[in-house]
Amino acid sequence: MDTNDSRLNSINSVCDTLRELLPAYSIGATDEAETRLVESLLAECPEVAIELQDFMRLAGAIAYTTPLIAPPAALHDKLMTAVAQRQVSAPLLISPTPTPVLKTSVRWLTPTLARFTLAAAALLLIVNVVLIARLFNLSDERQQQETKINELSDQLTRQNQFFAALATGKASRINLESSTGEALASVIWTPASDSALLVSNNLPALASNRAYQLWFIRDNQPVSGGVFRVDEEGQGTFIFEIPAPLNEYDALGISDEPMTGSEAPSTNPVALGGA
Amino acid sequence: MPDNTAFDETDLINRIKLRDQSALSELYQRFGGLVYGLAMRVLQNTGFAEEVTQDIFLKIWDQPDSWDSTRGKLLNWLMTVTRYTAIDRLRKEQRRPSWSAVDIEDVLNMSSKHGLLDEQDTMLLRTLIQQLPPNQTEAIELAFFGGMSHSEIAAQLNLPLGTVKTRLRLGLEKLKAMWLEAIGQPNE
Repeated sequence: MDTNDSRLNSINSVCDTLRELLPAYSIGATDEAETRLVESLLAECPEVAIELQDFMRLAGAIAYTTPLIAPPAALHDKLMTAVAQRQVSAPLLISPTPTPVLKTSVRWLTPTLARFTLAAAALLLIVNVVLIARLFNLSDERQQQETKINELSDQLTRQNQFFAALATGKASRINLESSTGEALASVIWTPASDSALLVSNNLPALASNRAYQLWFIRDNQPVSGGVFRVDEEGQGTFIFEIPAPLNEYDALGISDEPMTGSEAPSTNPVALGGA
Repeated sequence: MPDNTAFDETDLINRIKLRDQSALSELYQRFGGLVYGLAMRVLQNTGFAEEVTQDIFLKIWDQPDSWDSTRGKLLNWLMTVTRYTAIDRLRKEQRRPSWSAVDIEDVLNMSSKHGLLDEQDTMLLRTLIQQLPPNQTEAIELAFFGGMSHSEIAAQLNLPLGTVKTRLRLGLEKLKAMWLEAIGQPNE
């Protein structure tokens, strides 16, 4: 009974946090860590999540409160010119044969026409180079988006697996403290999942180009558990993969590192906890 | 507000798919003022607002399939995409990190299923916003039109983070309750 009450209280507290952040989340005003927290809690608190739709509708409506302003007259012409140029340049991309200009013998042309032809050929060459470069950029962007989607998908899978495993009720907690004994963060894990949750309550805010890095420590050898950030109040959550049950490690540590993380801790630990 | 009577947006988009430039021109004549108005409100700069407006209509021209009629009205789609594009541009110009807002696809899924607001609805919402305490309105405007997060608003107004969070939350909750009440869908 006590355990059930305690779990219920914990769920209520989490859902209250979600309820407090939901209005700001609906208009994009949550900080990055808060956005991640809201997104991780939406599935946990369906009765709160349902309120999001009304906030989203409100957000959509607020956009209409801006006064209608007639754009400068020239903008219409500029837009239509850009559209016309797109239609003209499009065939260049799919032209199956080389442009005949390049095959023409220059010495049979009048000097003016020859100069024009050379200029046109050069221009076409430049346009083609620009278009090919743009195609490569688009391809890069698409690849980056696919990578991002895969990362998010993996993250979501990890979250779902972790919360499902947590529901078995066999979770353990590791407190991470500063060198003066101040509680800064906790890690919740369960042997039933290969993911764990780090909740930061009080880690110091970082410079914009820095991140925290989590370390699994065994025999004085740190192995990275990933990088994460916290908001200005030191709050944040981070779901990470665990290579082995955490009780097999001597300790967990957190250090202040560059945004991309480090091979090994480059600063003294901000927080440590015995696993 | 544009007159939406006798306006077949699906037909217009189908004409754009057939590369009919006059269809895009028609779309621009109908909604260009709203798109430009919103871009101006966010960016406060005519040059940037013009660029964003042109980008939005070129996006429709290049990718007419990006609007899905089953997910709501075309203007709702245009307004959402305009706000996101303008805020992205604003953050770039101000060298702020990229926006960690709700994914635009989620916004489009949740906010666009409803019809357009008419002039009366818009006036109503403006009136309701005026009924909020000025400090709550200020927080909402900085967040909604300035694309600012809690901590950015706190820094801008030199206020404690908790104060900003409270103002924004109370303002939006109150506005939602008043709005739903006014349109006949009170909070449960």
